[in-house]
Amino acid sequence: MQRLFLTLFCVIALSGCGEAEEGGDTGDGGDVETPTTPTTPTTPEEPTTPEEPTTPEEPTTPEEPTTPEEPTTPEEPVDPVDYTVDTALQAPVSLVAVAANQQVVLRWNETPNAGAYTVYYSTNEITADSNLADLLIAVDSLEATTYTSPEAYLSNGTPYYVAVVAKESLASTTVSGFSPIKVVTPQDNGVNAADLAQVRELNDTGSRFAVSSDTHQETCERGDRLASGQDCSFGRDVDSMANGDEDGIAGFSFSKIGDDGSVLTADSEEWHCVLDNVTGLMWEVKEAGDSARGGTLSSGLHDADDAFTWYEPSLSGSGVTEGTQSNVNSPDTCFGYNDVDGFCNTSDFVARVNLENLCGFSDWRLPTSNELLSIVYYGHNFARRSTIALDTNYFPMSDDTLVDSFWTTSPYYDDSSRAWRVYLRDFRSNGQLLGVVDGLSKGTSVGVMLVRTAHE
Amino acid sequence: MNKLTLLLISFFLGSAYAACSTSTIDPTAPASRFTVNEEQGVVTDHATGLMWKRCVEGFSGADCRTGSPLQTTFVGAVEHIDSINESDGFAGFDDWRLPNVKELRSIVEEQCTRPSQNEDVFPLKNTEAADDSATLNSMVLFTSTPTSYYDADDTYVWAVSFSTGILERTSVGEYNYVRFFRLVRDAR
Repeated sequence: MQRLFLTLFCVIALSGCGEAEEGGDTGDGGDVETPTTPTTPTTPEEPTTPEEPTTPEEPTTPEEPTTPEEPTTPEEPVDPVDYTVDTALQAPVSLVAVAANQQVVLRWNETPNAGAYTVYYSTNEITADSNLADLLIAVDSLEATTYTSPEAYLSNGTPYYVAVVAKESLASTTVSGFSPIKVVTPQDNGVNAADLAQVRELNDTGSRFAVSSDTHQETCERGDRLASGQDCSFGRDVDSMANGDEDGIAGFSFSKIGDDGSVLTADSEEWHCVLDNVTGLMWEVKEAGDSARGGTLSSGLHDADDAFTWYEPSLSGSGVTEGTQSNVNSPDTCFGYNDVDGFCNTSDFVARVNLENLCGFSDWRLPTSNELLSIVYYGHNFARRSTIALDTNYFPMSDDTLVDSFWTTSPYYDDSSRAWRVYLRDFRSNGQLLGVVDGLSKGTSVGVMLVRTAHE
Repeated sequence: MNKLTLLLISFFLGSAYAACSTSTIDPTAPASRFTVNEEQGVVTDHATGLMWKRCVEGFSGADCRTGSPLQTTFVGAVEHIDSINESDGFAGFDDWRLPNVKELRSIVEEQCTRPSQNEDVFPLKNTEAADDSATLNSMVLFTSTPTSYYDADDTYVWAVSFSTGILERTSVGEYNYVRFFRLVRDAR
């Protein structure tokens, strides 16, 4: 099995196996200075073989590589490449590690501007300050965003620390800092590793405060309600690698997207879509509302004040009601309405946004209920002053917006008259409805925030 | 209504599976998404990488029909989980916790109601006692997520009602509701 792993490693990483860590001194490596591509396993100038033994000068550390012919333990190191870390490069922001029998499955987010990834692991703790040279490489220069360790390779019951770095291209010698660092312990849990290929971390809630029996704490401090067991003690929101606010408050990690689909910097002042780096979903950004809507009053196609009935004509005859084409009592609730019936409904709106090619894409759709819940920010600790359950640095929304809740595509259980909707604002109920999901009659006009799958 | 009719009604209320619109609503928690480990009593979600305890706390056995459900206050739930983690753990793990609101909502089966749950993956003890069944099938489970609030002494956490999958505010303060709960951990 160890041979299998090393073979796989050699095939995937193509950086030569068994070469010494300090290749620059000895000339037997070469993959640091002249990183290879998948088609050139070794450099022509350095005609050493992958079977090249370790350098005598560097004989002793446990991380010392050995030849593929004599692998001894699963922990045996495999040629750590001496990358230079450039913290200006964007690191993967999400990493999920799942245990299987003598195996682990890792999945991380497709990282803007990254062309390849390297997966590091260690049986010792990895921290943000860990030196790459002290860690083992599970796989080098992988273009995919998922990695499954070779079958029956790892030891059940042994905790493995894992982290992923990104680099701009296969040939880059500089890499980003670490993704969130995870620890995973293989175990015979009946899970088939192949089933986990699409695993993806859920977004966290943004909750960073604890509640006690008589008050809301302003931090995650231990109150009489046992903060250690509350949301604020777990997840991305408390992972120091993931919880910076610049890319989205708490554990959220968003990227602003421009008109042409390009990824913009966090301080950009004009953006039209937001990519959620954790979920891989891209969201329509609404223009902050001003309490005015309708054919002549709405300020544009994406006005946050605009409201729509739930209507999907393709459902006709399916058993699920197609909904309501037009709000009879109040049809003029959206941009462009011109006395034509059946204009301010969800399917017509989706068609208009796809025709517009928002952010360069034409596969916009209504979100499912859990998709829309994924961006809800449940962390407000003073709802009295905040009526919006989103990170308003990325999803601007004003208190003057006319719409409180937003449609999802998901039918409510009665599969007839209702669909799920989510409250992203709550101005009337003192914040009690922020983030609530429930069923609403399809004939009601509420907001729509479209989504598309950017990364499967 | 005569006694026989009542008996029949309570029989159907008690033993029938959830009402599921399998032909018209896409499943949100299909069995194919989960690995059920009956022996250990845990379920691994391939989509989220979370491991769930298969039975609502208090129940046990391969079909979750042994025992009776534990209804307790929020503090009672947190303390109960602490005591599991600090003693023998469960299924060999000692990092169990309450799910946050997004995690718990992620296992709602939207095509079903009372309960809105995939009972092949997460069985419920549907007894033939109508009152018992009604409670279980509309079970409200704690999450670990506090709600936003108006006054600082308005102390609530979110709960998910598995009657349909809606969220409910659940007092941990003045009213100190008792609720059911289910354990989760990262499947790492």
